[in-house]
Amino acid sequence: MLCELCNKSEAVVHLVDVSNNSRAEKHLCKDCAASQGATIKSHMQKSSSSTKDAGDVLPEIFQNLSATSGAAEAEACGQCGTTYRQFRSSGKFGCPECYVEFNVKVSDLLEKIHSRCEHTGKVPSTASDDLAQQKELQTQQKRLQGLYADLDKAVNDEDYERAAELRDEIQRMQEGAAEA
Amino acid sequence: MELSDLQTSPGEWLGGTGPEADIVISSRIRLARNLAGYPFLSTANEQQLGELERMVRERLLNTCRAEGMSYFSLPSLGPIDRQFLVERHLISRELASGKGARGVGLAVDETVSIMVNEEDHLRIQGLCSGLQLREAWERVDAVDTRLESCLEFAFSPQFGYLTICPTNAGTGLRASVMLHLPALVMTKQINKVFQAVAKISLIVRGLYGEGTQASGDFYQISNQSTLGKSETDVIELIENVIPKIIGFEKTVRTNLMQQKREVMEDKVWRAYGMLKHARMITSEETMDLLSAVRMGVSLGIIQEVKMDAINELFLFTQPAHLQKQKETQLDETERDVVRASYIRKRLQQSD
Ligand SMILES: [Zn+2]
Ligand SMILES: [Zn+2]
Repeated sequence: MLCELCNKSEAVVHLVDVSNNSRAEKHLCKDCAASQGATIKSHMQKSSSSTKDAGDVLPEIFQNLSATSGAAEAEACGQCGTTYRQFRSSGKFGCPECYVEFNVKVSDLLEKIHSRCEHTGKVPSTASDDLAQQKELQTQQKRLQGLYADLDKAVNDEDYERAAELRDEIQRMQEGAAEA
Repeated sequence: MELSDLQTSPGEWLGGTGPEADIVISSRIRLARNLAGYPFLSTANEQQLGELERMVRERLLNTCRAEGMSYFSLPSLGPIDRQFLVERHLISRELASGKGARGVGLAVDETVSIMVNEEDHLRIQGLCSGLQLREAWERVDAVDTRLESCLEFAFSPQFGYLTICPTNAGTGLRASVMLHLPALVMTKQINKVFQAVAKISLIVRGLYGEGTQASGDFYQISNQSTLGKSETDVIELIENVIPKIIGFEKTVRTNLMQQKREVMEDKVWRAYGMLKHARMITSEETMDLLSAVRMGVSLGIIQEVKMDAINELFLFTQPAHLQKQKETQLDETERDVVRASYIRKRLQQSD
């Protein structure tokens, strides 16, 4: 869907105004939404949800967070258009991508809420394959670094036989990684 | 399954059969899940919400045949039916009063319910009677695992399951245990529980009443944080603290029975007498009186009623349950009359 205002960019901000018992919808791109000073008002937003679960602690945490710069506050999620300021005032993210887009700030915030910021629980079976792969890649990376260090040392020591062995091993590892 | 099929039974979790059932009413686990590739409910439009609901509903019915899953779309239910589901703890007040495409999947024995488009895309809940957090977790975990084979959940290795509120991110798990603590309330020692529990980052809240002042002496204890601890760690933390609270309540009851036996007996029998003879009774008063009788049954002061009958009365005397029994809408005064008559009948039966 294209933005209603500029008709150029993809609309990522979907405004639903439910005032006066009628619904008005607006679909805007990120830039137009920002220039309109739009606040996202979803019809599913619930005022009471702050009273349940641990939602109670959130406003306090936000109050205690040192105010970030205006630019950082206006930073919007590329996927859904939610700005960090909007998130701060509602306590709600716009989409899963917001966690990635606001990564550094999210880490700090999560640490304040939960006293930790690393997940240690259940992993979906679909994601665990990726995770295992990532770990494998990381260990390979480490081994490769080690091999390069050894190679440097061998060359410095003028141990060319050892250096040739190491070069072959590095080549084998890189070929293996490329195939995988 | 029709909603009216539920009406005649109290649901497994109110059976009063679980471990420590005289003090622990129920154990609940809920998981928050969202679908990857969809915006959260804060920014989703009506079309996306509808699409999402249809998809989840279809997958739910297909993958959870073992649970005998039924699905109810909230907009198609009347206000009494919605309230009925809230009273049974199968859906939240927020889902009942929300707008747009949303619904709930229910296992035939009511031990698992899945809310769709509540605060998160999915809220998977398991409810068991007594102190059985692990059993509730196993049921919820099984449903979650089956769902993830056909739905891709928003997940990050660093932050875990991604939720609309950062307060639920990570495991998305809220474990809670509902306790009946009348002796601690009577002796004004319930604050000690609040303080002790807050130290280990658990939350206490009243169950039926609005705000923090619970009516009926019921309190719910749950975990506050969802990130950095595994599901079983959180469950263990709560499982370790509950026996201490149970022990505290029991000690106070024993002391009261030794030092103020007449006061205790009088409180319990008066409450029982009121319930047995009242002609009009509000739901708040019912809750307070049932709470005293429940303690009396547990202490052996009253032997002519069984615990499960009292548990059922807590549920069946709530507004939507009364109206479904009568199959008609009742105003507040009418409900007070019907409630009193229903309680009289039930307590007469157990004589
Ligand atoms: Zn535009
Ligand atoms: Zn976003």
